[in-house]
Amino acid sequence: MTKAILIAAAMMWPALTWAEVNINVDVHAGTNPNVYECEDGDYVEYSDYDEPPWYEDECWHGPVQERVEYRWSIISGMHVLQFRKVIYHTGFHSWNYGPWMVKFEFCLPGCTIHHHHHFCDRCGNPFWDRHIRYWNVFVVKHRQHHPQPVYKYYRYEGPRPVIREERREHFAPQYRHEEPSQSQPQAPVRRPPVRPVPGQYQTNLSSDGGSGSSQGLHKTNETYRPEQLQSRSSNNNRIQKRSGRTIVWQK
Amino acid sequence: MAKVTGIALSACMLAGILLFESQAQNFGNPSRTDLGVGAAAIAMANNYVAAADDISALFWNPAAIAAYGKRHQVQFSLGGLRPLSAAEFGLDNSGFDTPRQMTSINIGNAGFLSSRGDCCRHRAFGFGLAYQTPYSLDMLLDYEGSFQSVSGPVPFRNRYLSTGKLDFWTGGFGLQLADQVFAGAALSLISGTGSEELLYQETQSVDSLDRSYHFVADRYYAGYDARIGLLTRATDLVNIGLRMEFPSVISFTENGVQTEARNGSTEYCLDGYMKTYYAGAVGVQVHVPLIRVVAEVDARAPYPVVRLSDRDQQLWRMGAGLGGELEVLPGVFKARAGYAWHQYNPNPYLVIYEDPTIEDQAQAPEATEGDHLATIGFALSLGSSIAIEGAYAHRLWMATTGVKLKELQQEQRGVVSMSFNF
Repeated sequence: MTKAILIAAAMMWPALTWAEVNINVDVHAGTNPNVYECEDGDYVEYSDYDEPPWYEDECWHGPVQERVEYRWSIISGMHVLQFRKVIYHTGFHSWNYGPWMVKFEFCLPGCTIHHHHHFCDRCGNPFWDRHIRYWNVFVVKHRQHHPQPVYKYYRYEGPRPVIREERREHFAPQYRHEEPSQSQPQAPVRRPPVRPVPGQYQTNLSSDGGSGSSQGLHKTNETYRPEQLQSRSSNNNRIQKRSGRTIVWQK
Repeated sequence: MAKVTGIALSACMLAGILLFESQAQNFGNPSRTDLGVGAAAIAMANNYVAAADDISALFWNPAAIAAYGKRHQVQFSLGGLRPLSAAEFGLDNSGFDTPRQMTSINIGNAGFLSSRGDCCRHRAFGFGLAYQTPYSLDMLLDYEGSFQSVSGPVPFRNRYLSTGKLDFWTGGFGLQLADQVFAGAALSLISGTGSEELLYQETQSVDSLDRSYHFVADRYYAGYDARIGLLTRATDLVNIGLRMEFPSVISFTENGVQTEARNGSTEYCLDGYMKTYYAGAVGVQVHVPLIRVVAEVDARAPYPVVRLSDRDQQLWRMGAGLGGELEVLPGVFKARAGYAWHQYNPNPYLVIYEDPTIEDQAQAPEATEGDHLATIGFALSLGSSIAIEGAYAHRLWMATTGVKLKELQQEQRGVVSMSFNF
């Protein structure tokens, strides 16, 4: 028996010599193992960094403003939505940036969904949770315990036709010093009128160049032009500066 | 009585003077129809601030809960609503097209009331819990026509459909302040859903730009409403009631899809809230044997000015009405009728979005005759503890938008309720 053991050990020696035993021990003390942290040094990996970052979830702790900054990036050939916490101190005008991260789940305290939790401060509406799905590349917000959950999607719309090197030089230095409140979180939603009256356009215009006098009021007939049905912001600015006369775009 | 009538007439005249501007309505700002609560109130055209004597007092005047001695009441009502809409676009005065209509049936209110009389050296006190649906968000608008562009006539069609309702989960109380003077308060938690759809289609686009769009949005509401009331029974014949409504705040989440011919389809999610402003009513009831007559004046204060432009100007909205009840068979059968007039209010809510929006330029409808409500109803007592009430209401208003668009909006409302008193 002893001889057999010695022979077996002798035969195993080469294998033990060439073998490489790896023991991975992951210790997660209060962190989510599904969170990937990407430092700025890894920025080179993002060969298609094609969208500027934007900010959401503003909350204030005294003079300290916290926001979550988002950006689209590519990791392992897949578009993912990254985020990081940005802290701005209004008294010292100092900025503090957390590491870029991609999360599978992102919950508030009290979340009862069975998954690995990663907690954040209770900012904004406490009824909302934020889930970021890595594999589908969109973000889902839903109201917990609500019978009809409500979703919010961030879909990747494809790269912009801008050269990468130029974007890096242009955006990387700038957005770090940009005020979060000046960023554009998303495109505005249109609110068309419930009772559109196309072809007819009434406003008060002054025949004497906007003197505002009520004398000399008259109607002029002009043909409707499509560009006059633009958004309110562009249209109103142009029209409201002239007041006092009435124009009717007739049928 | 003559003084109150004079106040009502003065209010009507003032309202007529003020009726020269109204706010335009954009997608996302739902219309609201004041349905009323309770068959008895609806039968008297919602002129119920001084006449409320059942569980619907939680909405009309919470002070009335404690004003009618010791009693317990359970009430349940079922109602149906049918909006009808007809519109005409153009200058040829060809008349309104075929009316569009839709019908919905829902619970009007359900609740429990308990009050203790002022016996045994205790002042009167009462409380109530109820589910109420005082407001509907249903509206229908459909018209078509054509307009002249630089390239020729362009036919178009516009359809707007809004559905939904707001549920009030209300609790309130009333108490006696002094001899024949009562006060009360009610707090409602609001929930509800609604949807809007707006389809604008240019069926034959002559120029290069296709301006067609299709917007769909679903909304989920949550908010609160608070109101207080005061009621005095100066004599056995006369009641004077006062109600004050505090600004109601309703937050919402909107999920929508906007599809435009030029820009494609986009899904979005918006958060925001709707807000009303201070409102109130004062009314008087005269109760003589076999006959009850009520008169009421109500008003809504203007919103704070949020945008300094002429067409966003917010004004007072006022109304007045009369109602009556006749005991045809004393103690068994009562007949009711009422009429109310209100200034047309296209936007009862001030809508504020947390996310950016762009409102297209919209022309304000001008309702030259206001909003008319005519009602009839009955009450049938089955013994001393069971009462069945019914009401039918017909609302009508006309509006003109930008000279070309004329609307005739009507709503038919029927309610049946059953009350148990013990």
